[in-house]
Amino acid sequence: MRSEQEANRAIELYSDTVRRICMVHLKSYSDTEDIFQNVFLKYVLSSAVFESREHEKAWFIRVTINSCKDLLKNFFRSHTVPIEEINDLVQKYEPEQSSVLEAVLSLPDKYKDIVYLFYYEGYTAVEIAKLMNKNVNTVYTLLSRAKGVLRQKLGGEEFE
Amino acid sequence: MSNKIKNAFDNVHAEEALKQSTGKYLIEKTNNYGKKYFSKAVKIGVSFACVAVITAGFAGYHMYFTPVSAISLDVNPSVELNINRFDRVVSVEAYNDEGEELVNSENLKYMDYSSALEKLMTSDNIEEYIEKGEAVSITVSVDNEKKRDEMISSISSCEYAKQKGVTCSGRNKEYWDEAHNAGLSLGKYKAYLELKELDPSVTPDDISGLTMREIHDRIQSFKGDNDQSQDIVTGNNENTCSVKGNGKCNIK
Repeated sequence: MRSEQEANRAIELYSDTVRRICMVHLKSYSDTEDIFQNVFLKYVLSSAVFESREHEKAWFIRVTINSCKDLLKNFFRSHTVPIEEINDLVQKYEPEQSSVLEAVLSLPDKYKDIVYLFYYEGYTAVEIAKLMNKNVNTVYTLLSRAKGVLRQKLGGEEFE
Repeated sequence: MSNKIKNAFDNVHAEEALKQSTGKYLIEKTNNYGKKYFSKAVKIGVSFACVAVITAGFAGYHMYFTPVSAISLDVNPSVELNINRFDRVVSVEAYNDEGEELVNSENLKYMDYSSALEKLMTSDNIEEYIEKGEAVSITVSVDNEKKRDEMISSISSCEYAKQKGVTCSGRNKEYWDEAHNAGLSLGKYKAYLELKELDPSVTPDDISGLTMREIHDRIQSFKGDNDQSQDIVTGNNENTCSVKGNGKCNIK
């Protein structure tokens, strides 16, 4: 078991990342809270040895995505997020940022993680494929389609 | 546009309340990161240690205060020293008024049996009886034969046991119980059985008030003058204790 100091350090370093992935997937604060607790408890109980900060961060991203997916697999949960609920989630941000977040959050589930990892975290398609245990070509395809959707939503000229 | 996505997500932060509730949750779920488990383990360990100490204390107490052997001194005063496994006197019983007087005049508890017996034998009370030519019977009762021999040997080698009229003998624990059931001390019970063989009508009550000399005289009157009790061994002096093996008077 990891120490309290290690847990607090991890919360300080990775809570924003976990929070962003939760935002991509989840619509309720209580679900986010559940995922937070689940992910950091797994970290405390995990005996995994990380070679670098990047390695550790990738672990948090993978565990958070998987935890969110597991939560959403619940039979009683809806897999699609109604647009009104997305509005509720993003309305506290500036209008420009809010519209971007809204566009990302309204993407189909299969695109959301890839867009987030590619555009925000800066992972390459190869790294995303490795992280998400997907074929690289699949990642390229999904990324290309996600770009198309975002271009439509956010304006094609600016989107690169 | 990638910058827009980056800027948008840059503004998403984990709420402080979320971090704090997660921190608290981890403390709760991990029992304060194993510290509670540790303190629980320590508590359990301390409890076991306490139980072990108390148990050992009771066992030690029981062991110390449980007599495993007895030495009976019978003249007219009849007293019995109950001895623990460490050769210490743990209780003293008087079987008649003279015995009560003798016990009250000497503090014998927790002394080693040799010293306690010496104290009794050299007391004015007993010396007076010996000077009058009374018979003094020392009877050791213990189940372990080796221990019995060792005790008899140790007592027999002491000066007080070499005086005229002093006899000593050994019996097992069963004999001790029988004597108590008859309400007699070991020495008197031994003499009672001897007399009963010659005179079946005799009862414990008949002899409880007699001195050892009086009982021996009765026995002699039945047996005839030339017969001697099997426990009275004649050495250089008549009627002295026998010394078996390399007995030493272990008075501490």
